[in-house]
Amino acid sequence: MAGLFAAVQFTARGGRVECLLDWCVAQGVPVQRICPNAEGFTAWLPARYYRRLHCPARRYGVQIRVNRKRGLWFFLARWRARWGLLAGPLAFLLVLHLAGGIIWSVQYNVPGPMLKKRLEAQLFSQNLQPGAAPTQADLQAAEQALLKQCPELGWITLNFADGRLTVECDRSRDTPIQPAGAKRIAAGESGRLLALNVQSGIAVKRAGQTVTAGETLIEGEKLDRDGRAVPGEAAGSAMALVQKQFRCDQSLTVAAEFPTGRLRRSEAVEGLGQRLDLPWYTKQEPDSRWQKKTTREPLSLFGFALPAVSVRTLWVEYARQEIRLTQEQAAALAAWACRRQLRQEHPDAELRTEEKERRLNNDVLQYVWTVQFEADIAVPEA
Amino acid sequence: MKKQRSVRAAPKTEKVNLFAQPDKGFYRRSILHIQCGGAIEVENCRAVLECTEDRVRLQMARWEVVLMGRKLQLESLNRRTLVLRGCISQISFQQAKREGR
Repeated sequence: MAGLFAAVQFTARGGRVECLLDWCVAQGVPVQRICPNAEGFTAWLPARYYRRLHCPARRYGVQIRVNRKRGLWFFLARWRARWGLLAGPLAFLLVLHLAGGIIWSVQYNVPGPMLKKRLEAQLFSQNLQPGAAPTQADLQAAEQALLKQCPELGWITLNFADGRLTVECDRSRDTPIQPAGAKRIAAGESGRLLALNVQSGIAVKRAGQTVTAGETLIEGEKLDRDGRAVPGEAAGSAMALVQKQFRCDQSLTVAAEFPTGRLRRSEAVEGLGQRLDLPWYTKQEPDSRWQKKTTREPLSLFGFALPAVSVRTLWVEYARQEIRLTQEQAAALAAWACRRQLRQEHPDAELRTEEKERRLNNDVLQYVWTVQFEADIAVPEA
Repeated sequence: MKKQRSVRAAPKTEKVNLFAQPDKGFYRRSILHIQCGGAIEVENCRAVLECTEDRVRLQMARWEVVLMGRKLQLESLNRRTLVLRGCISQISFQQAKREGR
């Protein structure tokens, strides 16, 4: 701290140097670190007192001369004629301070890289990218929009502090919520019960028994001593081994929309709520046969993000075409359709065994998929 | 005849007033402190009469103090306190002389 204040080291030679010291004491001049030598002495002095020494030094015949200078003032004085060089760092600090409200980096604490890419694209579409200056209202609006666009998310928060935007989210739970007030739990499929978990009510079946679809597994009501039914609630799950057959008829000739190979693209720059279409890329928007795909990328200069996004729009022309599938391709399509059907009916199904059978009949591939799986077959009924 | 008892006088005690002002000029007396670390502190030094690397002569109220040694250095000098550092080998006192300035 003491080094910040301006101080000079001076040499006093000849004359009556002791009288000069006495004068300093009498006038309250704080002289420090006085080192006597053969000709006089050297001492340190606050720079503002040095000019006052000239008059007494002349009176006592002492020659004084500055040896060294120290302090912030003398450091800055070296830049007196070069203020531009000093203004550069000061301007940098000012910009650094002002840039605290701009997103410098985005940190994702999300489960899975695919979800991160998806959220990244959604944030770009919400104009939340490195270089943007979001307000609290923008962040709240973006949270709401992201929850709508990504229904699999249970919650999401956007926290912006000191130039860093932190995105945190988690998937919603897949556990279905059973409707309250179910009078009985019935079997949704025919099969053999592996485990019956009763949370509320009375179990009608036991593990190991074979049940048919619609049969009651858990009863909510129970009879009292007089034989009157006491209403209650049935809740629970029933894991069963189910055998089921899925069929799919897949035609070998498929008519669908396929890209023709013609492309159109346009580019624009978005930032600060404005959009600038680049005229050399912008073309008239084509009709509905063209499918549109928009990608957004942050603009950066030497690695530093700019408050703008490059928006690239690609139109791909689709046309209805008929293609001829091979039997293998048709079987793969049919298998995929069967599996999708199973997943829709029983999302928690675990396959045990499977058998595939296919037959070609008049340009139609008949695919039969017989599968044995474990799943929860409990269906609450009011 | 009744014997008279001699009454012994109580010893006189000086009353010390703790709250009284000190003597006149108490705070302007010159005081010399010698520290073991090689520093000498002088309060209310009137003047520096001589200042060389081997010998420093200071004027106190009625005495002149001559400090002799090697590498003597006046660390701090102001109206109140003078701090001297160095290897001091000898200190002598002598009656102050009037020096014309």
